[in-house]
Formats: sequence, C-alpha cells, structure tokens
Amino acid sequence: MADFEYLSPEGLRSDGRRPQELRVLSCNISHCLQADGSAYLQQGNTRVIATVYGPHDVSRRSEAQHDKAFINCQFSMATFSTSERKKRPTGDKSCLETSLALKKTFEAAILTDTYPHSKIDIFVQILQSDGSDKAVSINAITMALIDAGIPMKDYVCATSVTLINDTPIVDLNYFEERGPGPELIVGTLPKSGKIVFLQVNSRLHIDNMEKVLKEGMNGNQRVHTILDTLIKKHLEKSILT
Amino acid sequence: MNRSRASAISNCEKEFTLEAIQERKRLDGRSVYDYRQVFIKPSPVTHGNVLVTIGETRVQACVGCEVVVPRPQRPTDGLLYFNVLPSPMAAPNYDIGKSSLTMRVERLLDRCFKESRSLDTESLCIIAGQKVWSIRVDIHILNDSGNITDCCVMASFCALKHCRRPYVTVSGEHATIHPVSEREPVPLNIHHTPICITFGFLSEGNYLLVDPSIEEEKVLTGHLYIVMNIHREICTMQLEGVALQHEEVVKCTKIAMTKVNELNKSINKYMGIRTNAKNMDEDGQSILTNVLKETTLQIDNIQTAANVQEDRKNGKDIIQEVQEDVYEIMYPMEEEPPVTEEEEPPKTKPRDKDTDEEEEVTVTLTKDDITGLTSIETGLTSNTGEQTSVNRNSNKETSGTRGRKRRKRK
Repeated sequence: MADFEYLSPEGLRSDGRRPQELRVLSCNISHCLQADGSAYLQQGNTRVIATVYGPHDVSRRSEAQHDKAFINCQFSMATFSTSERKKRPTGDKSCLETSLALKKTFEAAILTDTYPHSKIDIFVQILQSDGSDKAVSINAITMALIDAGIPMKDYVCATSVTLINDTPIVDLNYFEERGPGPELIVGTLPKSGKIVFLQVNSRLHIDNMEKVLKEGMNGNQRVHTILDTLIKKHLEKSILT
Repeated sequence: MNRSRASAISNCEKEFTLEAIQERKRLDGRSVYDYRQVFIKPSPVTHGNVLVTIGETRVQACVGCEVVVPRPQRPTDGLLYFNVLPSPMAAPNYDIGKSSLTMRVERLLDRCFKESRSLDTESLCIIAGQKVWSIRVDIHILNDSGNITDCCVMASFCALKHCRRPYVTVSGEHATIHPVSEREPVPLNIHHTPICITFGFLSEGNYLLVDPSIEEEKVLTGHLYIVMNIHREICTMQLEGVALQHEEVVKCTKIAMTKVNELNKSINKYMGIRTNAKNMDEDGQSILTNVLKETTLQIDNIQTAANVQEDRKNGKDIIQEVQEDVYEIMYPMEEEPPVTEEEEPPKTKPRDKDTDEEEEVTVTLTKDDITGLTSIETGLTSNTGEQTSVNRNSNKETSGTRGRKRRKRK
C-alpha cells in the first residue's frame, strides 16, 4: 500500500471526494421499538447502530450518584464488521477504551444533574467498519439520545481529520485512516464550539494542530446541519402519522 | 474507581480546594503550571528496571524480553506489551487486577509507543514469521499521590531506554542468541521520547492545573492528556469529561511543549547518571578509580597475552575484592554483591552520554530529597566521575548474571 495515492494531482481523494467533503450521511431514527431511543447511522460505508435506555433506576446501588445520572456506555464491533473476522465483538482493550472515552464525552454533554439517582444506558455497535468508527458512533449516539428525549447541552458532532501533503482531509475512510498521516478525532458542541471529545493518534506536529483542529470543527458544523435536518424531518413525519 | 475516589472527599474539603484554586493557589504551594519534582532512579543492578517518582507518586517499571512467534498478520514486527499493576498499597481504592484506570493507562501507553512508533518494533524481528522479540513492560504503581498517568508513561520510557536485550546473530534460518557474558547486550531502538503531561480542569473547564495532586484529582471534572516529544510532535492526546474551547486546547499544547522540554532534561540527567558513572559514594568512587585504574592496565596487558585464562583470574580477584567493598558501601542491604567476572571488551559502543546536562536542568533534587526516598540511596550523590573500563565491565556482568537466567537458545 506504499504507492497508494491518497490525494490525486487534481486534489481528489481515492473515493472521488474533495479534501473537506463528508461522506453521504443517512440516518434511521427510532428503528428499535423496545429501546427508549435508537438510531441507525450510515456515513459512507461505516454503519453504526446506537440504542439508549433510560433514564431508569440504577441496577446496582453502587452506581447511584446523589447529584447526577450515571452513564453506562458499551461500544462493540460486530464480528463481521471488519475485513478480517473479529474473534469477539467486545472486551478487547481498544473497545473498552472507546467505551470509556464515549462515556466521558457524553457525561460532559448530557445535562446529567437533571436525573440524580438514575442511570442512562448507551449501547453502540459498529455493523460495518470503513473508517471514522468513533466519530460515527458519537453522531449515532447523539441521534439516539435526542430520540430518547434526554436533555443535552447541544448536539455532539464528530469527525476525523488527517493531514496528507499538508492538506487537512476530513471524514476518513478505512484507507485514509490506515495511511501515514496523523489522525485527529474531534467531537464538538457546534453552537458553543466547545470540544468534548479529542483524540490524536500518530504524530501530529504542534504547528499543524490548529489547522487540523479548525478543519475538524468546520466538518462538525456541516455534520450538525445534516443531523439537525434529519431530526426535524423525523419529527415532522412522526407528528403527521 | 473514580467514584470511590470522589466520595472519599468531604464537602468542606472540596470547597476549600476549589476556592484555593480559584485564587490560583495550590495546596502544596505550587503555582498553577508548576510540575512537582521528578526523580528517576535506574536500577544499578538490573537493566530495564527504573523507579520514577513525581512528588510522592511512585511507579516502578520493569522490562522483560523473550523470543516468541510473531502474529501471522505482522510477521516482521516484534511485540510490545504494557501491563499496569496497581496494588492496594498504592491507594485505598485500588483493586488488584484490571480496572478502568489500568485499561486507560495501558491504551495510552500503546498509543504513545506503538502507534506513534516511538519504539521500533520492526528492529525486534529476528527471523521474519518465526521469531521476534516480545518486550513486556510491567508497571507497578507503588504509591498514587496524583497524576499516575504521567508517571507511568515516564517510567515506561525510562525502563525501555534502560533495557538491554541479548545480542543475536542470524545465519540463514539459524539464529543464535548470545549470552550476556559473550556479547554486550544491545539497547532497544527508540526513535523519540514521548512525555505525557496531564492537565486537570475544574468547574466546567474554567480553571486549569498542570500535574494534579491526589487532593486536586478528587475535585477535578475533566482531564486532558497530552503526550508530546521534544520534536514538537503530539504523539497522543485525549480529552476526558470536560468541554473546552478550541483556543484552550491549543494553549494547553503550548504549555505542554515547555513542560516536555523541562521533563526531557531531567530524564536525560537521571538516565545519564548511570551511563557516565554509577551513583557512587565519593569515597567509593575514589577507591575504585585509584585501584581499578591499575587493574585496568593490568587487564589490558593480560588480554594481549597468550594464556589469557590463567592470568585473568588474578585481575579478576583484585577487581572482585574492590568491587565487593564498594558494593558494601553502596548497598548495605544487598545480600549478594554482584559477581564480577572477566570478559571481552564490549563490542558495541557505550551508550550516548549527555555532556551538558548538569547546567540546564531545571527540575533538580537536593541530596536530602534523594536520601529520603529509599534506604538504598543513603550516602549517594550524582557524581559524574570518569568511568573506568573495569567499572563498565562490572556493570555488564551484573546484568549478565540476571540475563543468563532468561536467555534462550534456538
């Protein structure tokens, strides 16, 4: 994969997108009738399903917090989601790490103090992995949380960014993610512009940091407009039926 | 784990800490961006065994290596594992075994060293698809007094830097792993120095702290872990539990940059002590240098002689006697003084030496601080005397006696 051309001379990416262009984003809200909130989100070939239960009673007394809700988050990847079959869907280190990171992110975004002594369960599963898994998961969880009617500060929108030939590239697919550049995943609250999720992998020079971060945040603004129109459409439809 | 920590603080204590920080004061007298004193003690006996303390936080990292079959999907890559071992001694809320803390730290270490390619895993390959080195870093948390992440990253780095693996020669499909007594063991290939800086945030990200202590950690709402190297590259970054403006993040990376430079100097200083001269009592140093200079000359002559074996013993006995005396002065607790044997001069050149480390160091320890740390260090100073070749031989030998236990032959 050494000769793989990440950016053509015309400035187009391997899948024909321009550097700052997002993949096609589509979403199916409330597909899961048992859950309090659910969303199936597809960003390019990355497909994610998120379900939210709660706020409900804590299942163990040790989980109860007197001043805020307890958030439980489980991230898993279906065994068939990657090109090489995974041995088990959850429990490996990177899944656990992602679960923890997502939990912390939504602790900062959900108005947890409105539900003391209760618990919110978030389950997210990657059905098909084609890059930006964490970012797409965050978007899917946001949709599911909105569907569940859980009060949040704002949407949490996330994208992944890399740097190829000094050009920031937004919303990575699998090849770009595995490429030589650094990877930055940023999740923001678009209205206030505050960052709630930030992860950098591989080496990113400090001088490029601001550029890449800005581009990621611009990407998040675009994700936000798309998610917002999808939610509004869904609401219109559910009111009419 | 965090929950039990949070519940361990009373409301008035919490308010007091918060108010102090709002007035930009910290309980231990530091200012907001100050780092606690860092002390690194590489083991003088074993390679790859390092004790790192940041303030009262204490972490010991040990590196072990063995030969294993590589993963089928990566036949030319060596393996690198991090294993964080919290003990209930370190803090009352620690459990033995895996927890969210160990998992988070282990993944951060993975990203620091593997994904940012700090340790060259390809150089750990012996025969592609058949034999590679597997490096395992055990990180023992001895005392948690806040900021365990930085301490673990620093300890892992120092241990990897300090580690030596046996020399290997490959001829065709046959690999020979030389015992440490035959060939000088080789250091691991490390490309850059990842150093972690933890930022703590209070009251929705309005207040910022560098290197939070255990009292401060109880009131923090969020963390930002920035791992950088001295080439101004961010190796890893992780934001947790707080919403920040983008300018604040950029500001934090700039603060981290200056802190990384400072810490890098102290790492060089402490890791350099061992390479220039071992931690040594001044008397011990003088005895050793005076007597051993002569024996070095003797040995040099002897080695050119034909019947090396016989004559070596004479030199060896002298060295061993002196060495034992010195070790008794240095390590009165030590049961067995390391055995000194004769051996060929090192084939690989000695480690890089930092010459100008003494002047530049900003984070320094006084002698009193060092002596307070462990009983072993009583009477030691960071003496940068000249290193005799016999001295180096004895160093090598001590690691040799240990390395021989775990060496493997194909």
